[in-house]
Amino acid sequence: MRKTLAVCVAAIGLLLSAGSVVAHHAFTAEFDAAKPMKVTGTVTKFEWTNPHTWFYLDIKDDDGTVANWGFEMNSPNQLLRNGWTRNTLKIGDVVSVEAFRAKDGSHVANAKVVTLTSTGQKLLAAPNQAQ
Amino acid sequence: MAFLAGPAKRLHIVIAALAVLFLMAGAARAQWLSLPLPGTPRTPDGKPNLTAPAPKTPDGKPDLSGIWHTEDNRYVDNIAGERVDVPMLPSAAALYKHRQETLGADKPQLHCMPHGVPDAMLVSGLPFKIVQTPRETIVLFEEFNQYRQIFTDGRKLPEDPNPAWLGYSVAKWEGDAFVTDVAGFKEGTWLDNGGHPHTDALHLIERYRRPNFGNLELEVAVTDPGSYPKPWKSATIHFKLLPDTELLEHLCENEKDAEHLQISSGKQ
Repeated sequence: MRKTLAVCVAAIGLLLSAGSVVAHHAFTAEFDAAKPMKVTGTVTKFEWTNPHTWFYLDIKDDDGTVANWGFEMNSPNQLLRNGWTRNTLKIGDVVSVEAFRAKDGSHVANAKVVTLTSTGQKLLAAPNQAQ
Repeated sequence: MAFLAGPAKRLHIVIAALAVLFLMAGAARAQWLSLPLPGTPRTPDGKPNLTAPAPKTPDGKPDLSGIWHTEDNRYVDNIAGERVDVPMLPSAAALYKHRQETLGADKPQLHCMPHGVPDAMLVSGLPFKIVQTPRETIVLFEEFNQYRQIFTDGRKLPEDPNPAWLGYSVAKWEGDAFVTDVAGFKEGTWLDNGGHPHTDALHLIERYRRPNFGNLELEVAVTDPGSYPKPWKSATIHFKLLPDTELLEHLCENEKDAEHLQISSGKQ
């Protein structure tokens, strides 16, 4: 029940935040709202730190080549308020992520929604990007 | 319960077990982010009554104490209001244009430097706490664990102070409005993420009102002869109370955005 509620809250939060994410100057200076990506990979690192949390995924492309990508999320504080804890992601977890790519072409993106493959739980990663 | 037997006893055990589970669940929630704070007016179902009258201090002044935040980022994008243009002196206009064109890439926060007054209060995801006491009102900002002291003990603003990111603040009551007088700023901060600039000649008058338990309003009058040809006013900024919760530590220990910024024009 609480998980269902968290997913609903997350979904509503995502809808509400879409405008402010696009409007945020620092976001647009770094990430491209016109370059969304949806990928699945294996967690290699999770940095539960301010001002932003980061997690890293090994992602296999169509040729079987594995590349490590970094995904930025909001601060631990904002994630805590959205149902995350520092133990939500563990090394080796398989997750799918909806994100926006960095403009500089690096293997970096800003995560919006993270789905834990093992449970199907969806978590909102960036309820509000402005800082 | 010893006199109960059979199904009645089992029912009591089940009820007792459910009660324990319920209490444990309550304890799990009642930690830091969700806890019933005393002094909060409540509706019959126990929820905070955000439309109850604003609390008063023993001397009859409104009490602004509480944890507040904005519901969206419209004010931090432009404190003057959406699509409102503030007339600027040429030097300020050039700086503002640069900040707009470079999408805020020089923003102090991207180098772990603070927001200022008033925009430290305007980032919706980063609440602030007001602690009102008779002689000073303290503002604790979640972002980067900053604080601000607003003195109400009758002192004057310091003359020629060491410039400060958040300036120096004194205040007095005008009816139900808490009116601050803030000066002594360093040039480092922006007035908002949109990039409204200021010089060290900045002087702010803030007017805070708490119309009811769950709402706080602010208007800021901006005077800066180094940036603006005449004083101007912010939009009326609306804050919402975050009831039954607490601030969390927030230090800038892992900044990684700056290296990925794509600056579209300008100095860099």
